Amino acid sequence: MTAAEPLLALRDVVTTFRTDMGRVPAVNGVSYSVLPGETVGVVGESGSGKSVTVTSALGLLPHSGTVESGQAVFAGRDLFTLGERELQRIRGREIGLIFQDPMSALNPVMTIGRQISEGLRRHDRRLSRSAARARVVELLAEVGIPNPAARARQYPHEFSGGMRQRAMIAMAMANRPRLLIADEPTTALDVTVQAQILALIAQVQAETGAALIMITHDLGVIAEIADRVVVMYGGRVVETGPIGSVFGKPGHPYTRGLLTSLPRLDRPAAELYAIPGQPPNPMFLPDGCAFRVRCEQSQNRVECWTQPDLTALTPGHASACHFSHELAASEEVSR
Amino acid sequence: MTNAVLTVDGLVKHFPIRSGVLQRQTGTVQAVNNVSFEVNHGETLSLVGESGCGKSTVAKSIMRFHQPTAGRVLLNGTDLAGLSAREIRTLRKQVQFVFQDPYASLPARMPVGEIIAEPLEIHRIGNRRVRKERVRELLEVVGLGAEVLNRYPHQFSGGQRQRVGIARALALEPTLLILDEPVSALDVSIQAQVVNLLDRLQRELSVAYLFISHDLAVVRHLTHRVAVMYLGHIVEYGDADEVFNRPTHPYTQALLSAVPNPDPHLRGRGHRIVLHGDLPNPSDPPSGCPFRTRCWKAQERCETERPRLEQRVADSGSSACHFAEPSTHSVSSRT
Repeated sequence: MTAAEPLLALRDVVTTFRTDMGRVPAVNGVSYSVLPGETVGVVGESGSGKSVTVTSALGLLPHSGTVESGQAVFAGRDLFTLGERELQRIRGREIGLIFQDPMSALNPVMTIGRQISEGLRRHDRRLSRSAARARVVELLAEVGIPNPAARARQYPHEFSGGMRQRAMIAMAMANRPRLLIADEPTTALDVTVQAQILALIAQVQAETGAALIMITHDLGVIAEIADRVVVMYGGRVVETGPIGSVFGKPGHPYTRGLLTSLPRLDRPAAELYAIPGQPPNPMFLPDGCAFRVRCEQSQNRVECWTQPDLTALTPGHASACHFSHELAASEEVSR
Repeated sequence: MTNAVLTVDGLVKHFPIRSGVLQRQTGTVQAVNNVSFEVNHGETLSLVGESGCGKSTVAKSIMRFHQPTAGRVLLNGTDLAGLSAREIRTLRKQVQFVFQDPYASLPARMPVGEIIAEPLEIHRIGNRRVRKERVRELLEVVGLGAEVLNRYPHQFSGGQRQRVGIARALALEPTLLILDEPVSALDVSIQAQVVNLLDRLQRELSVAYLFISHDLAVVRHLTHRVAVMYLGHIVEYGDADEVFNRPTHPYTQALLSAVPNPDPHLRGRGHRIVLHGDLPNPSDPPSGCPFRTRCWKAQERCETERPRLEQRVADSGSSACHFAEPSTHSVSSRT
């Protein structure tokens, strides 16, 4: 590992939501970082806090959400201390965003070309209208949209799902950001279209050197593209490390459970391993280790009633489980 | 023929496109074209393919949610067309439906006990006491206890709701369940639980499944036979091993190669076929082979002559491709 300065460093982020039943913790002290040019995959199920963590950092929480504490240092500035105007300048210029549903992120009554050129001109006042228009056509061509000049004059509903996602990537890339954040960008897409979009994101990254945070529930997508992975459960990071080491020798029973529960094309097994129980409701998180009630490693041992810290197993690979060493040993035996 | 629970023979479903003030028909969406298959007693047949391929339209035509344009649907050897409403009702008991969205498909204001008992009441089966007993039994079968009888759907998680939906579908002891994306909306750890449940129910009750899904890994896990659809046509059809291990249609090969593998060590190992372009418009499909506009093997012949679905390669399924041949990069060889 080089001692490169992280591009984005999240430290002990705590976010809560106001509900009818009081304050609900959604993110409970999450720390992770992204190096320049690196691809970090964030995995977790619904309610794990994987999306809320980044929306907190970007200042995009809904009104009911509050960042209680923590830091989100992007290129030397703590995003939590910045005003809305400064944040707006960073979003779109230095951080590009790609969402799951381009239809809700795009303005339905504005042509695709107009939306991208507005984004360009917002961040570069000297850019003339015609230069922006030319740049839009260039961008649409770069993301593989055929007939870019004609397509720029069309509205979002005239695009297919895959083409809309391409347009959104063009928009996110328009100002050559140093960091891309993609939240489930291929979840709504068919698998062959997903393959196209993942290839496109990789190509764009290779060309611009942008770092990428890929948030997804799809372990297959993470395995394909991530350098490092962050596994979240119950609003915390339960495991993090290089992809090969986390997926190859998981140090947390949850990660191991997820990986073994996946049906696989190349290994049709008789029965799938299924993690018992359900993902926790953030309102009623178990005391101590949130995974305790579903964990087969825990077996109700008393240690699990205290919150385990993220502890390094190997350099760069850490797990928040009191028995991760036991897990590693049993892994050896089962091989 | 004798063993088939469901026979679909030459099914065609076209939807008229109407436009203008007079709502004149200006075109036709060819959603399903000449689709034939059989589902055998106690077996699973899967329809796979991407959005717009017609797989859900096939299911809806079987249930007579809409009238097929042409073709026959036989349930246990009996043609549905030409039967009286009463006869159709009796026959319909044998086919039940499980939907994708366990949130939308259950009535919100009914306790679970009543939701499951409703089909029994509609078909006047047993008295109150018998029905109550049957509901308890069904809850047991799908892994929910009798203590949930008086709860409402919103008090359940997604996985539990899907169990309720399955219990309700099983109430009339159907010989065939049509499952339309039953696990797609579920979290990864819950998906394995429901997949295992479906697997066990089939073994215990010997009910046949028509399984509709875009998730090829789940299909690989559950299915005996599989039909791959593209633009309203079945392009490949055969036993699971034939289609998954020795696909001969280029579209099947592309589809399988696009599924991300959750093993980072295999990254870049498999040969990924990235398809170019979008799905053609089903109201203006290509002449000849429907896949030719995106196929790397396409020749002049593909434009003029629609390839028939037939066995073309030994030990492989039927393939609707003039140039059917085994892939040089099969998925199973990636292990």
